[in-house]
Amino acid sequence: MQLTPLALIMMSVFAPAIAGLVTLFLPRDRTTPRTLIALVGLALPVAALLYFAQTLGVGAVEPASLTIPFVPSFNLDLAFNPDPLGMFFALLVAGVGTLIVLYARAYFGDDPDSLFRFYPTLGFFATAMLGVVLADNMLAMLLFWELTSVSSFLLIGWERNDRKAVRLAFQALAVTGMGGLALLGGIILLALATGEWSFSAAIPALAGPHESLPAANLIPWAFALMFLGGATKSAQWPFHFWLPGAMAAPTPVSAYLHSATMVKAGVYLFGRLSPAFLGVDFWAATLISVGALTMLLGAYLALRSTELKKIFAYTTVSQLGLFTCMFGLGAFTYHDEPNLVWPVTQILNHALYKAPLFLMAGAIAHAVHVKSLTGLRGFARTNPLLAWITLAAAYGLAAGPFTLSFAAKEAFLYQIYHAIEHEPLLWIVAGMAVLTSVCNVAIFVRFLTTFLARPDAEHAAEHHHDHDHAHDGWSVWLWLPALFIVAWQFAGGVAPSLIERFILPVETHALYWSHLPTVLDAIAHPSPPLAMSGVAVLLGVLVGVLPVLRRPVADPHDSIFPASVSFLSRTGWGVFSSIQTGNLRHYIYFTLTAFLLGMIAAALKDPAFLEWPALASLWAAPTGFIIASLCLVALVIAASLSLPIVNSRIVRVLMLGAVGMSVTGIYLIYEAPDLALTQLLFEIISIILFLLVLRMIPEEPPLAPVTGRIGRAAFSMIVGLAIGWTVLQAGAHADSSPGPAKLGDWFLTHAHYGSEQTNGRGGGGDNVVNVILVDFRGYDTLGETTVLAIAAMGIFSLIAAVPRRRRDRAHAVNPEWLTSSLLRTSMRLILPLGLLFAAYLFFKGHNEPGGGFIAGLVASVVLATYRMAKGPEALRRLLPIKPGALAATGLMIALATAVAPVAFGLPVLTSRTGDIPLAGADPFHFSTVVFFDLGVLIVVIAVSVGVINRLTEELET
Amino acid sequence: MLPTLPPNLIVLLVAIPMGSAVATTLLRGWSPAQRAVTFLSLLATFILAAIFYLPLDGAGMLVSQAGDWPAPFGISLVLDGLSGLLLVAASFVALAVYVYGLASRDQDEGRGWFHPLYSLLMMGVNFSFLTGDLFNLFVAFEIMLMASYAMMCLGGTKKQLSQTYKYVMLNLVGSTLFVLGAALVYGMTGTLNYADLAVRVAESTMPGGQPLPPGFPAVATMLLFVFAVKAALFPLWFWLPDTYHACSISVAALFAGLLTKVGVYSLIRLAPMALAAPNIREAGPIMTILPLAAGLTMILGALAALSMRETRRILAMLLISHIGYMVFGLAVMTPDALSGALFYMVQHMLVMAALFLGCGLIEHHQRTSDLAETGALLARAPWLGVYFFIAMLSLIGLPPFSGFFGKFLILREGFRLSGQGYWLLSALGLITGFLTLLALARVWGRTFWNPPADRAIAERLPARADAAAWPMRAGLAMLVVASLGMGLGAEFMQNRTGDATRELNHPRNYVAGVLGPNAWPEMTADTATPEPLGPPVSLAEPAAAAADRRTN
Amino acid sequence: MTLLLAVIVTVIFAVGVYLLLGRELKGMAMGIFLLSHGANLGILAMSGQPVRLTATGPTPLGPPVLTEATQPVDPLPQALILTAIVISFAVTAFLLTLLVATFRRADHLGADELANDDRPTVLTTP
Repeated sequence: MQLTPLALIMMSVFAPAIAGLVTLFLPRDRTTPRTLIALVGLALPVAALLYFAQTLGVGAVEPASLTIPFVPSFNLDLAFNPDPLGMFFALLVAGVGTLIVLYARAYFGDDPDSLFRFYPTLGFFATAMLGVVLADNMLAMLLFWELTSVSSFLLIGWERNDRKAVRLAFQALAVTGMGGLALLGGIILLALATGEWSFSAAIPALAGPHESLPAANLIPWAFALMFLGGATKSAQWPFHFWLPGAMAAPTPVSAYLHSATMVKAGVYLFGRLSPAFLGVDFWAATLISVGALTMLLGAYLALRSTELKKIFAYTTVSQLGLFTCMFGLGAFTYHDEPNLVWPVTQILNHALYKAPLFLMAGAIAHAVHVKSLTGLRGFARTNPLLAWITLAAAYGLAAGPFTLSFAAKEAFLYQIYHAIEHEPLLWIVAGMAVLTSVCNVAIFVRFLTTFLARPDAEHAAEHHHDHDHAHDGWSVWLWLPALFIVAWQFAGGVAPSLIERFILPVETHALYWSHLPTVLDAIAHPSPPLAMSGVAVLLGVLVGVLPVLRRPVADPHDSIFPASVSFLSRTGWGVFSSIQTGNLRHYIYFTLTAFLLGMIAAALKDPAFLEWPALASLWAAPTGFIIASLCLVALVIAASLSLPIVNSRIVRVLMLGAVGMSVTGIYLIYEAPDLALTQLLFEIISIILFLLVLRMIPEEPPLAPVTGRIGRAAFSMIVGLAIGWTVLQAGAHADSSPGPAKLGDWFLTHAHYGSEQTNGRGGGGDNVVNVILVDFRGYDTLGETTVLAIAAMGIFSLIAAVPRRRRDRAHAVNPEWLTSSLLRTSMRLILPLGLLFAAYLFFKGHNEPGGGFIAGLVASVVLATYRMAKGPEALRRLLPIKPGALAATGLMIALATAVAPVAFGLPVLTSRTGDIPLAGADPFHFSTVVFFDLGVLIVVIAVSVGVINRLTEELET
Repeated sequence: MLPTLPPNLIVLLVAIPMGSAVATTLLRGWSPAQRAVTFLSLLATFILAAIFYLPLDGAGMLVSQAGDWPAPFGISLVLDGLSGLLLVAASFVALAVYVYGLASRDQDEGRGWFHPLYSLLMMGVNFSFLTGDLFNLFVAFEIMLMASYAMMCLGGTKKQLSQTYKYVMLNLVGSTLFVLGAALVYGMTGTLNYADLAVRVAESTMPGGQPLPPGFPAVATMLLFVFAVKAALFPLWFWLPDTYHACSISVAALFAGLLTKVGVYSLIRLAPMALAAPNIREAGPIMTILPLAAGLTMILGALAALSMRETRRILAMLLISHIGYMVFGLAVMTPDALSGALFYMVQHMLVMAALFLGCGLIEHHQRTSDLAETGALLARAPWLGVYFFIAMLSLIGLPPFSGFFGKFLILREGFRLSGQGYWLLSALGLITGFLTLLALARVWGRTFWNPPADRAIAERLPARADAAAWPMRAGLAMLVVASLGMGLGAEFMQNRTGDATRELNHPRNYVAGVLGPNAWPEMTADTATPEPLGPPVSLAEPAAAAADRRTN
Repeated sequence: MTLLLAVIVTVIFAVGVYLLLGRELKGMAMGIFLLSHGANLGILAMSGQPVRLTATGPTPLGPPVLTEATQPVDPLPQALILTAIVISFAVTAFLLTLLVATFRRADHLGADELANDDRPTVLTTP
């Protein structure tokens, strides 16, 4: 069958993850099939990509045809572009991955649990990594990029019971995650600058003239952020510390993620972007300086380490620095070409010796349980096979003649050499490069001398009894992959043409160097670079054999991460503990200060706010009217001002009542009879509640004298003024003529009789306020009634959950005290009359002051008095239903009345009114809202009586 | 194919919870029945919300005029793209959290009052989303808050009672200013109906329109303050960190999912079209206040989260911090930014509730969420680990998880309008993402990986998750799967949120739907919003077009 | 009249806030209670003067009851206040009970004393 290009690419990218998932469904102990499936998962991409390259050619297929839309409106599509760079990395990832699958099987032996965990994670990572290198859409690349960070996190934290490993995984995720976020910012800026969301479109746009771009000014920032993203991922100084830490992961992971593939993602990004940012003047400077510094630092730290994996990790850091530096040098030109020589080959070369080194480190640890170089004296005698493979790979590290490394290093030195023609300062970099290879050679020499040395007795003994190690058929894969890989080193070094045949199709800048320089070419045309390598080799051997620079040193950068976490936490704690003091007083200060600042800002923005509004004259009213209102005002002010001053709690409560009563008076002045009634009754009940509660909370020992009363008073005054002033402005406007067209006017005209606007239907009541409450704005009433019921629920549950303790009983009183025989007897009269009055108010409510609330409150006051007088039993006889249930019933009635019209296809709360003719009497005015009002009435009674009753019980002995 | 119901039925989204509250009150003492009723009502609410919302196309909306009175005189209930989406999300979260609670002890608190209060809280939330009237919004808020006050201290423990009073009092201050502010709006504009308000504000700067009085910006700021208190923005978040670790997990998860969002919703609904409408945007301080609040909330919240030691407190601070993202989107106030804010809001509901439920399961297994004592949970509860990990990545905002998309859109708009200084907010947003990653990765490492610090604790812990707790896991799974779906279905979500927010700045359709056709005054040059500066964002183009544009 | 109301609102809010800034929860509750009065009066101010200046001089308006002869004042603020009163009553009742419960658990109602209960702890290591 003919596979479409898209199918091929999709298969290559997602096969590993899918295979990994499949392995999860195998029973844990089926290790062999598990291995084979994982193997297929990674071998398939290799085949598919090669087939792709053969049939369609590298970079020949338009990315547009390799796109699966994911989130088009975010410009996030799974668009792929197997151009040379991407194709090379993809083959590297899949190829090495295939060998790692086999190696892991041997490494973990047949420990089913490890393999069960390992292969899915590996496949997940491989897919993510293939996605990174093949994606054309920048956001898709970011997506896969983040997934590599996550999988690396999971793999570094492999040893879950090892606190150190967990902390190092945390560190790696933090650093790479930070890079990922920077990259996100960079991508957004780049896309905004170019108006393109894919590499294949954005990079040409950037390479072209910047005048035509939508926002060229963003480009430097885009570069800075993307560099940060790449530098963290590729462990450039000062972020390199996470990579040696990542060695806590099992060796297959170190070999695969942390040397061969993932850490190269940043380098890949630099390679991808290098054509684009050549215009940015500090691109070259940044990459070269950071890269060179990382290169030298890594090499030095490698030289000063003894643990095998540490050595290899630091040399990896060093190589990554080299690549960064290399792409920086590419900014200069040579023969009118970017000054880049076989960059891809240099990256490949690193994989061809570093992966084997890691694999061998694992194999050695497996065979002889030795993790550090010092423990391997005479290893070449005790275990020649492993030793010589290791040495072969280390020879590549040293870039000795007849290895691919040699060619790569030569190329790099040439590159520096050419660049120096443009920028003499680069001699420094040349020096650093030489020092770096000195370290590399020295490391190789140390391996050589250690391995060939005569083994110490105890080591020898140790080695021997360790040889009977798990030797099932798979164990050859401990060393076979390494051997296979390292063979290419020498193949490339001896007969470059072999390598070139594979590399040339994907090599990006090989144009002015037709083939790789072998040692023979180099000698044939001697040049300064050759001299540099010569010097490096000599010095390296010297350092290697002499007993200098051997004592291991710790990398000072290792403290960066703990220090910054601790710094950030302390800062956060400083912020938190300074405002979140737990003290309500402070919170109210902060909150109201914020409020004031807002009001001040508003005043600044709109100065007219501070001008004195046009008010109708205060004296434009009948004299009695004025006197009455002035008295009330004086009363309110006096009563409220007294509150903070007096100390006796009872007096304060009474003063509170006084405020309420005078407010009632003001409502009367403002022609609001319903308000006045409601306020009055609620005031009574509230005062009762206050008194009950105060009785339950005995007087506490006086608190320490409050300081700063003045400031507190001033602050309160300012808040009061801000609010009062706003009220004044709004009130003045509401009063002005022509004021705004108010809803209120419409209510006045429609309260009873409708208009054509309502097809003649009106509220059918004369008491407009009541009609508004139960009809026009019935939702409000439904809501407030619910709130009332909820309050009751809360109170009941709270009192039930927090019963009184013996100490509280001490304050309890004999119910007799609360009442008098006179009251008890007069109840016989008060109760029926009061309830009758309530009923009257209820039915009149629609046309005259009254209604459900007021009636309910009257009834409540009466019933409350009754309960005080006669005790709980009497009340229970009168109201057999539990208050909670009663409130619920009331709500149900109100709700049913509200929703019923929906059944008839009418909107909620639609009312119908009419007059029921009564013989020989005025027709009885009737409206369906009466049921609604009834519900309200019931809830009010249930809640207020219920609460007062419950609280009183708490007081009684 | 979903049935199409008459618009008047949207009141059921309020009535059903209220009815179930009534029923469960009457059923007190018979807890199985209470649970069944509440569960069914929540399920019904969710399904109904979906049936109402999903068929809505771009500008579609359902309006029900209370009492059959013409708007703005009656109270209108409006289910449009914005409120509809949030209703679906909120009722789903409520359902999942309730399922979780079925197996936990939380629901036995308060002697059977838990269930009615739960329903009433949902009634308040749905009411707040649905209502189209400012004062009615106040009432809806009070329903929600009153229920939350009661739920906050259902257990009656000292831990709860020594914190709840702060929550109550701070919210009361807010409510007092809310009711006053609503009335002041009435005094200044003569109306309370959102749509009518939007029209009057839009007309105020038009020739012949009634101009707004001086002080309207101040009143708008007062309302902004009120909503900011509910949304727990800096510096008004005090009530949240002190309380969310004290109440039971079911309550905390529900609150984390919904309460703050209602405040944000009110801002998204009212700020662009009324409080800071395009034509008065420059006259008021709101566009200066919002960016400040957003930036400080994001960064300070995340920093504080990083310093906490208990997972619950960390989550509470992250909750606050990520509210900042939504307010950031609101502060930019371009359609795309608002769409991002809405997207982020929905995913934040799911993910935050999920994380709190996850924290509840952590406490269920380890008796504590103190990072100094937890550890090695992955071996004991692997699935919990998976769910928590996914939720964690969503909150951090890694693609392709749901948290990434809303955030991406907001950050992009911020960077796009760098000219107006919004790039700073975007930078803070990226840093906040980093701090979130630090805080949560530490939670993960210390809870699921490390061995428990204290051997004694390790022995005290149960060996494996007990089977009885399956509803807990089910509730968590519902939320996590939903957030995963949001991430993978980002295109669908984005189209929905885009439709919902496209016209918030010039609510032609909304006004027409509520007040009737051509109620919206046609914009003249001076009242229309200026084109947002900054480079245009190239939308995805057909692959073919892209191809040939590249070739030539 | 509007001016008088504004003055009252100012004073009530000032005193209410003053009480709220106290160090003792019972006082704070009173402050909240007071604030609700202030808010209600603020709403009342939105209905404009109860007295209108007409050609015949100042004439008081009537209550919003249609049977009355006089021209009524704006009824909507009154309806809003009614709602507000009920809600603030409900809230006050709950708040007071909450204080009782808090006292029974914590044995004191001083803001400063309660502030130290159950404070978070800091974690600074990775």
